[in-house]
Parts: sequence; C-alpha cells; structure tokens
Amino acid sequence: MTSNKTTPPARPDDTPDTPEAAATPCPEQVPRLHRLRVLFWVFLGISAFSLGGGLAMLPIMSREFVTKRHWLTDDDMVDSIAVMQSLPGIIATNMSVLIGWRVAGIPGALAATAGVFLPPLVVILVIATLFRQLTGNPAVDNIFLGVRAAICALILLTAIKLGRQILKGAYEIVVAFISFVILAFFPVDAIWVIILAGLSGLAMTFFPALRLKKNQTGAKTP
Amino acid sequence: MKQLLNLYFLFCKISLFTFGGGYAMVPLFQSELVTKHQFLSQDAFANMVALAQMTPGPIGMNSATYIGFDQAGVLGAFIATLGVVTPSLVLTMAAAAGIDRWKNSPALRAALSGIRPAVLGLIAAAVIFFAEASVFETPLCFLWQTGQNFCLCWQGIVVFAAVIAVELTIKPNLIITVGGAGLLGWLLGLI
Repeated sequence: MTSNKTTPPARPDDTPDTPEAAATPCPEQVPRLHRLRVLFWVFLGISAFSLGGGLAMLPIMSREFVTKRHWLTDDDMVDSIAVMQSLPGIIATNMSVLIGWRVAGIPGALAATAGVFLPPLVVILVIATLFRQLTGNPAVDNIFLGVRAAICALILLTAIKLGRQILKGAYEIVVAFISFVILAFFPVDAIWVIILAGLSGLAMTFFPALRLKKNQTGAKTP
Repeated sequence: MKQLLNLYFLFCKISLFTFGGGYAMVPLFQSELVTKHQFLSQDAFANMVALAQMTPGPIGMNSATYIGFDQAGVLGAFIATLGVVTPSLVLTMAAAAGIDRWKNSPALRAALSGIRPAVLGLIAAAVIFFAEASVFETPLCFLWQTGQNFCLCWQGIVVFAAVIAVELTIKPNLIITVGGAGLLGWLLGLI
C-alpha cells in the first residue's frame, strides 16, 4: 500500500532531470501537498514499524529522503543529526521536525510529527487495555521477567558502546561515574544531574584554569 | 482538568531534560513517576518500560501514552503524548530556523560536553534499575538500609546471559531477541 504511494513521487523528480540536476535535491518541484502527505506517511511507517526506537530509525529516514526521493542530501542528514543530538526530547520527534522543516517548512514539520505521534497512541491504548487483564497471571509474570532481563542486557550493551565513544578523558569518566553513582544509589532527581553536568561542561570550557588542571592530570596519568 | 494539566506539564518537563532519547529517559521517568508522584510501583514501572520496548514506536512516547492512559484514560494518553512532543516541536523548530548558528554555538557545545557523559551515567543507572527488577530480587540501594539478604533470581540471570551471548554473536532482529527472552522466561518459570 505505502510502496505504491511512494514510487510515483520519485518518478517525476527523476525522469525530467539531467544527471547533475538529479544530484541536487529540489523538493520544490513536487507539489507541497504531496510532500506533506509523503512526510506524514513515511514518518507514520517509521514510528509504527521500528522497534528499539531512536537511532535505529536514522538509516530508514536517509533511505526514504536521500536515496529514494533526493529531497535531502547526505549533508542535510548529517546536519540534522548533529542538531538533533544537541536538543532534548525524543529522537524520532526531533528528527521528524528537522526533516519535515527542510522538506516543506512549518507545515512539513507538523505533518511529519503527526505521523510519529499517532501510532504509539493507537498501539499502546490497545495493548494497555489488554495488559491490565493479564497482570497477576503467573505465566505472564514469568514472560515479563524474561523481557526485563533482556532489556537489562540490551541497555548494558548500549552503555558499553556509548562509553567507548564518550569516555575520552579524565573529565568525561569522572562526570559519568558521579552521575551513575548518584542516580543508581541515591534518591536524587535525574533532572538535577543533567543541569549540573551541563553547568560543569560550561565551567570547564570557559574557565581555562579548570581545563589546565584537567590537562595536567590527564598528562600525568599516562 | 487539573490532573490533565499536571500530566501535560510533567511530560513536558521529562522531555525537556532527555538528551539522547530512549534508555536515557528511564531514570528521568523513574524519579518523576515512581519516586516523586508515585503513579506506579517500581515493579509496575519495570513492566511498563518492558512493554514500551516490546511495542513498536519510540520508547519515550510509548511510555508517556501508557502512563497517561493509566492515570486518566484515553484523553490522558493523548495529553501525555502531546506533552512529550511539545518541547521537541518548539525547540527543534527554533533550532531549525537558525540551524548553523545553533550547531556552532560554543556555549551549547560546552554544556553538551558535560551532558553527554552524564547521559552515559544515566543509562548505566538504568542498567542497575533493570537488574534490580530481573537479576536481583532485592533493590540494591536498600540492602545496607534494611540488612536484607542478597538474593539473586536465577531465571533472570539465565535470560540475561543468554541475551548477552546472542547479541554478541548472532545479533538477531530485536523483536526476536526480546520475544525469545520472554519465551525463555516463561519456560524457566515452568521448571
């Protein structure tokens, strides 16, 4: 159903163009209403069918908008991802706003976000109703024990992968360790950890005295 | 009405302080929903996140919809999900309008250089939280307060080890991993 819908927009975009024109993205050639419709349905599909959330959705987005339709370039995607990572909020919604904006302005951002918004609402409403009737059943409890153990393992693997990217120096290790200990073993509000970590980043960058000390200790340890 | 407004702003707040999405949200949800407002027990919260992970869609949005529904029905689900989306929508549009200035702002980079490792700490804390709900039978942070015995749940350990082994070798589709873990949990429960 969606694949039928998605092929036509690529055609009028591709056929009349010379090769160099096809390389530059020109979503303007496609009627705005059509762009909005595609944005809505593509993001609806991404939200409805991708498991594990967030970063797993990025390759699908770049396939749909860069490879298939030439509405965005690879640079657009890299820029969007960089901005997305610096903003709070859910990855999928942030990306839908950034991509929707680039393809069709504010209406585009709203159409794409609406696409992300709808599937969880419908799916979870159905599942939450069923789930209420299932809790307390010992078989279901055992299944959920298994799933929780699986999630524990998956998050651990994610943390290790992230740690390899993030932990570059003494400062990063100290911040990560302190926030881990505080959150895991003390009843501290997670929001304060984020605020304080942001402030410490600002202090480290704008007060060279602190940074110098960090460099010296960093130089001594190896 | 007041309850709906509270839900809306609560989820706005959680969304506003989530960097990196997904698992980084777990400690934020936990401190707001379990510790502060006591909407859910620790166990119900763990099950809720498990459910959000198993169902397609962004984990944060799934969780918001679930809690909203739990607290105030269908309208609550809608309002809570809207709350999670609003800050993203506003901030991202603002950033998209001035994309280059935003990307190169030194203050932003500085703040993020601190926030990134803290998010890693948050995710690591989420590991402990889920371990308490699966591998250990008692919450670790209460061990020294209550003097309880240290209990391990062997079924949880088996599933945990199996998932690590599978993820490091075959790396199947996430649906298969999570579904298989549920099945294994059920089978071990029969023993």
